[in-house]
Amino acid sequence: MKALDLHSIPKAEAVLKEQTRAVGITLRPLAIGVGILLVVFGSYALYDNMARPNAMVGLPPDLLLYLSFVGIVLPLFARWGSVSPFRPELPWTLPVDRAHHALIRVTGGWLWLMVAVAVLLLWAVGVPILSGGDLVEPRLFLVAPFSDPRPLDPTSLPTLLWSIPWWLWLVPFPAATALYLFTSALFLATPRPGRWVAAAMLGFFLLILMTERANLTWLADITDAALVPLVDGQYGLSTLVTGATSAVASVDLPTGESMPMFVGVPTFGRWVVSAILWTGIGLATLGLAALRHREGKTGGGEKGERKPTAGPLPTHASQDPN
Amino acid sequence: MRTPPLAPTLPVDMGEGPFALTTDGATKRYGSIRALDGLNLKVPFGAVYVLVGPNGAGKTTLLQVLMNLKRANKGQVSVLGMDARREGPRVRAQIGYVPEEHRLGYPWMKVGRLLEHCSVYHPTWDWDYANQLVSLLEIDRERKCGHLSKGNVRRVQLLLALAHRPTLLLLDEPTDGLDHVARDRTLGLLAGHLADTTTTALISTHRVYEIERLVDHVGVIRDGRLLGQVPLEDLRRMLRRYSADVPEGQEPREWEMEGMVALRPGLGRAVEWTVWGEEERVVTDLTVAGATVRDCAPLTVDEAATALLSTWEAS
Repeated sequence: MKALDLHSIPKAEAVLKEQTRAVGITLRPLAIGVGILLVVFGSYALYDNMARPNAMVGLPPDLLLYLSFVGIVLPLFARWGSVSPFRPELPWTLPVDRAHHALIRVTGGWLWLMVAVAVLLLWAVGVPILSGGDLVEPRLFLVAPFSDPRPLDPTSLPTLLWSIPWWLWLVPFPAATALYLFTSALFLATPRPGRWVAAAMLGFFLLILMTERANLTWLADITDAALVPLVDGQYGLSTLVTGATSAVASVDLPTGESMPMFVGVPTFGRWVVSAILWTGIGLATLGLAALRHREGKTGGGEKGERKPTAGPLPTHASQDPN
Repeated sequence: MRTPPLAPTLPVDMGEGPFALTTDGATKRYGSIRALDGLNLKVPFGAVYVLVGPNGAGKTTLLQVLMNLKRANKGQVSVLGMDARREGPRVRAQIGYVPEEHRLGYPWMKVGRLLEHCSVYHPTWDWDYANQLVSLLEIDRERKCGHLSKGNVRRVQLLLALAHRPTLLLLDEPTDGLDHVARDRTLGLLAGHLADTTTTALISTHRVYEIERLVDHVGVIRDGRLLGQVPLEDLRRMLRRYSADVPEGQEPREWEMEGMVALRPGLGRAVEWTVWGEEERVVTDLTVAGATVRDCAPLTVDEAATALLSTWEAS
């Protein structure tokens, strides 16, 4: 008796390739829309800049922040929500482990995210350069120690001649990646991510309201202690997203002039640690969320499971055309 | 005649196999509701097994559990000898599945692109056959999945289920949403597919009369429990409608008998019974009690399902 010829499952590379294409198709309308806007605004900016030559080209923190937000926007437009593994939709009836499938899909989306960030970065920097602009020249900054609560004497602070370092051009990539991982994880962790986000925002708003109205300074202190390191800490989100270039204050000097001051020097090492840390947390969060959909677990089944019982398999001709 | 229990006990034992599908005490709970309650299904290899039952009986849940789209809380689920819970992807590679919902998952994708998409997931995808199905089912490849009508979604779902030449078909209301012509074509297509291959099929439907000519096994499910499963020939042999004349003045209630599914008084002295039992035994019982049996005929699957489910509901 010949054993039953079972159909094989697809290779992971083939699924990744196909999912990348599928996500690409999903994003096509968005890409076309954004492409048209870039061309229109780019043309206008080129015309405008050419009328005012020598525009300065830099990487302001705002630009870096907006680029990283692509990581939040992309899962929404890639319709992570409408093809949720919480529903028995067609993708999840295909012969791939659901958790792996979800992660492959997220990987496919990430590849497009990197392309999107690169295109937007090139546009944001390329348009002023094409219209005759130059890179921002080095500037002198005061450098304050990172976390010194004492009032600072500007004259005692060291200075730093700072120009855009090469690594700052890379900042949007891990920043968008980390935000993308967190957003994707949210879609995998819950069937109703919108509700969770709304509830978190509402909770935060109520917390602020309570601390202000009831003058609960201890609660404000706790909130600050928890959130400030997370956002503005040495390896906080601000370092991830802007390479710590947002930590700039304007300081008045005794001469009456004002001078920019870094609170903690933006360094390659500090940014890399922050990028690795947040990307790692993002990956771990995504992995945990994907665990909800893993197959092979018994799902509350009985202990000491027996092997499935089926009669002897009949002779069966292969139906595999390959 | 003595008064027997109204609902007859149908057999659930299907012998030794071999079986393409088995569930052994499969239980699926949603909170306090048991969608499947210790269900023991056995579908022989090569069988076309129709699952009948009222709304909410657990038919769709059973198919989803077999696909490992939902996990059984308890019990064993075996598909082609594989544990569906542990080997979900390998199990699904063998199955052509038509879900109850009329959704294709990628509303922004064109149908032609969706076919390419699914072909990547099934290394056994047969493009010649898929193209045949496209013309036979009159599927427009250029339409976006999200713009398809209910019936057209069903056609695409049928194509996706068949084009990779699965060993097993799980069809949940396969003709739901199809117009008369499409339904006729689809049923012809399924009949041809099942005749040409050794495919095993498990079909859940409320329109049993449509697939009657395809079916060779019948299972009746209610409240998550399998009340009976039998080969069609056994159903036709054992469940019959008897027409007889009874002596005047007797109440129909006096003619209740073992295995009786339905009793319907006719004109005058005529009474019609639907009984589960060997014909010889039933005729003898009726004759001994004084009735004159005039006719005995098997029921269609649809009539049988209606009669059995009505009886169980009443009891």
